[in-house]
Amino acid sequence: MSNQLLAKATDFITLFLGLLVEAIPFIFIGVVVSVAIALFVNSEKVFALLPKNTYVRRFFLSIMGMFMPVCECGNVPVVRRLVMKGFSVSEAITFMLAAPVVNPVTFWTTWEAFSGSHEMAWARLIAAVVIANGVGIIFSFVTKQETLLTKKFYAQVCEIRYNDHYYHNPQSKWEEAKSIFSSEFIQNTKMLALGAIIAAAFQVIVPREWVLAISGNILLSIVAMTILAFVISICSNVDAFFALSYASSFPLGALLSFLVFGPMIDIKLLMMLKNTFTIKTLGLIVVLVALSSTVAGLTFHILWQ
Amino acid sequence: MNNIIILLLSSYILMLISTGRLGMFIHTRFTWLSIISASALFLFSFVSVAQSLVAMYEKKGWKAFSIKSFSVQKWVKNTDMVMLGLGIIIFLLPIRPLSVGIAQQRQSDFNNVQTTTEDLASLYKRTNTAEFTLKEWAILLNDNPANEELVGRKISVSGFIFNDGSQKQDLFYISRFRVVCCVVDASPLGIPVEAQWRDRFSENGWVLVKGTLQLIEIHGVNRLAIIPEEIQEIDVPNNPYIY
Repeated sequence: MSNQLLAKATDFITLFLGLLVEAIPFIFIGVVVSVAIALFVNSEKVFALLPKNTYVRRFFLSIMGMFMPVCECGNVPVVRRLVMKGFSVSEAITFMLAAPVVNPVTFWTTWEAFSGSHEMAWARLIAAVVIANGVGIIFSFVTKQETLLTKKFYAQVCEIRYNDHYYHNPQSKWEEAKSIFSSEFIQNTKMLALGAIIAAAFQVIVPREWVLAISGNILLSIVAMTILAFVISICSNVDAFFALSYASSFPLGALLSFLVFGPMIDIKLLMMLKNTFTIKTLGLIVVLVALSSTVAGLTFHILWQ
Repeated sequence: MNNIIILLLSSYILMLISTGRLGMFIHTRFTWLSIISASALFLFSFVSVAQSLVAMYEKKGWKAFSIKSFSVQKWVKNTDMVMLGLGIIIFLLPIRPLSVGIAQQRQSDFNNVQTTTEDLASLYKRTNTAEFTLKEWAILLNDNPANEELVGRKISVSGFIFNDGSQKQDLFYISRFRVVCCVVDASPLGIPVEAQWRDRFSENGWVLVKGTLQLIEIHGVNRLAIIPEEIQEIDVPNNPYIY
């Protein structure tokens, strides 16, 4: 018994370190982009360049991930920076949901993995854009956008926006970059570590067959693959290869739900977002994304299976 | 404080890379990304920490580094202490591959490996089967577990001993985990081996098996399995997974 416990403990450590070591390079890239936006992007000029129509602007944001080929962990610092730079919370949510899927690396790996069914790569891309825009539009109806953010993060946003407008930062660019980089990196890594602990514990405690056992029909298959995506917290850039290994036992519609839901929501990502959005906001995002990725999976199943 | 934590985390990743053990956690395709990001993080945090120390010295001289100058209360209150603790603890944690317990938990994914018809055809064309990896064998046996053309072929594979819970006393699976991204998505692959192993080896132990493929009865069905000529205990390799 004690040997089994010891084995479970070492497996937990291996899974936890695996998640941490795998995600740190992506957080690094995300924070570098965030620092670059903070230091070199003039919000007023960017807003002047963006389309005035809110729906077109939102669509534009949902395809911005094309220029940022990192997975979901790397996008969190960018999402936070977008809000600090003056984008509405609902627009930042649209970017956050779309960017991990709507990027060249994710598209290419999905294309390669499902080389016998290229519809999968296109369906994934389209579903992500539609869901990200839809969820963003729903959140845009919240009049007081700041209520979607945690108090601590909103205070940080106010301070940064105030400084941007009325106060010239006396620090050198290097000093400013250093300060933003280290605080952003640690904030994200802290929450990643917490998410990795929960995800690793879940994997050690709950056998995968329990999750997969509920795959009786298409709807249950979608639920099973959605839960699996939530639990394993795999990187969106390579998750298509993982999904492919289930192609023989699950319908393609369920795999699409996995490929759409996973990059938008998983355990470690939720922990990382806890610093930015309120629990209510995150809860609503989870429900909306789960429902819409289920619909996407069902639609794909009806049209292509 | 933040920079010290970054310094510790990046040092840990660089230590894994320099000792060839990064493959214990993630797919080798991420090695260069890890090298570049960990090196950049290390340089950044090293320079920042050095600058801070110099600034402290210039302000207060050596007194800046006395124990009294650090407010313990302020440090303990800071939640970053947890991260600092984590940054130190990871160096003390054992670096081990996933155990057979995870293989049992993920038995529903056992030998769940997909391949294209072209790759399968090219595998069948190759004649020197002694060079086949465990993954290649798993693909072939998945395609046809009782392929008579493979009977008598030489096989040499290494992996850990996995008992699938069958009642057959003289059967185990020589196994490895296949990793797509990192260990969280690892799924077990394995080939049956017919041998009296329980007295000599323990489950989860790493062995090298050399032998030939023969058809034997497993769970009432004829299947290809290794009839070993030699089973040798080996150390856990630095890259224990199949990518």
